Amino acid sequence: MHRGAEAAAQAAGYQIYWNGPTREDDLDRQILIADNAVHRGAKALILGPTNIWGLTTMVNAMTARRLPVVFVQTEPSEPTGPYLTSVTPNQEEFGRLAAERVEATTQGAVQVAIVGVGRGTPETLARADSFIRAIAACPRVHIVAETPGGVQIMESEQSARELVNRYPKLRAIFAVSADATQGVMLALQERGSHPGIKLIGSDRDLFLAANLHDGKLDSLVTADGYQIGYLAVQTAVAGIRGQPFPPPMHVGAKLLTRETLILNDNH
Amino acid sequence: MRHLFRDLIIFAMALPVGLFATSGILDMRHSPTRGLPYHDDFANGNATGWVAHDGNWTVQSGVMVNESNERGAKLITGSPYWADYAVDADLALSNTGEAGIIARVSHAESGVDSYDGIYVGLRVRDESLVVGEADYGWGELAVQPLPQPIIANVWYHIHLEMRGCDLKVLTWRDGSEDTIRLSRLLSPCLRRGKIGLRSYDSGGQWKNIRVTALQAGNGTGLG
Repeated sequence: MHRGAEAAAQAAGYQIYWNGPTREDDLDRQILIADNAVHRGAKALILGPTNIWGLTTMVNAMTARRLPVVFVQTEPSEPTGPYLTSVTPNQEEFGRLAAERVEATTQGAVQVAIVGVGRGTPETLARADSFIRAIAACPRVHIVAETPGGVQIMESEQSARELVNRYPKLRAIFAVSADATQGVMLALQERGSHPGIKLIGSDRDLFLAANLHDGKLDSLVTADGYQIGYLAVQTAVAGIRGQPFPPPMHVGAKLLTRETLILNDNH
Repeated sequence: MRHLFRDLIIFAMALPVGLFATSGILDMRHSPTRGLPYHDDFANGNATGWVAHDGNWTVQSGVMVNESNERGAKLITGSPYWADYAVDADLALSNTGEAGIIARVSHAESGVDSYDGIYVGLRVRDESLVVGEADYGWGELAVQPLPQPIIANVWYHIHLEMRGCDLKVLTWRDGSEDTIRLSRLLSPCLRRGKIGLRSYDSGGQWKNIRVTALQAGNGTGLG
């Protein structure tokens, strides 16, 4: 996402100030960073919200000052308008692709769990909901648990550990965020190899593609981060230049497996 | 009138002396070797001279400890004018993230990669020695797999040299004779800056921090 944002900014003749809180759930620090950036002269804000409900006051204050605000990763809680819009992955596709993967790679009666659902991160709720809807079409797959841990690796790790202990017949886990994926992966690794449990992760960070390559997870549902970053900056620049803000935009998701990764590497 | 003339003469004579002294002080303050060699063994139990950007830093029995697993907590010290130098530190990770040292640091503030500088550290996730450059973003410059998994709470030594754009790194586990070496010619590169300690997704412990000015002839001789 950073590279896409930089490319769009460079093309438009703008500079990016890129920063984020050191704790994934540090809402106060995120607000402080955003406030400081605007105080120093930032002409627009692109926010990957730590917790959308906690950002409402700040976002309202910014848009009241006619400062363009673009949300990425998840849509804002407030209605979008002339100074507020979003560029986000198509969350619906995340759940659907994960459900299709479970269906395609398992046989017989199967227990699955969802890990990493958080109220402050609506994208995790949307992914879980679409997964539940899609898996309903396959009655042999039974969802046994839906656990929290959206932005805390350790919380997801703990959730996964408890799930593995509680449901010995668990055959698949859908982790609905990058942090949840990492947490589940750590829990599965810690208990030795779990060849019987497929981990279907979400989003892509510095390591998850490498972990997929190494076989530490079954598959990864991702959206094109470069495109999201590029579109977000392009939209923000349009807002700075007084052009009308487009409605929320969605970037399609795709399923990565070890095989598709190797295929891409070879090309 | 005579007094005014005398004062003007004195002022005229004092001016160059003052300018000379001021420029001398500025030269000294801006010297790339001012304060070097530097050593902190945290023996006095405090962190005087260090500035924290996130994290929970305390000195415990001669060890600087960060008891937080924040992503990119930093502790900075030194002169912004330090240029060619070697940094040595002993470090231990508290859990499964990464920890290391940073060099040629400037513009540090609160946030994940919110500084300009070179990072060298040990990363559990791929069991490797990592070198990267932060510029309010992250660019990985080199990754060297370690022969053995990183063990929490075990001491490792890191030696980092920056001479011009030449970077050299040595690391070894305490008590081990296996030394991991890495060298890179960076282009372009940051030319000067402070040093610091940094951890990501892990707490950490650091001790025996040393910074030594590099002149022609000293250093590891590596590469």
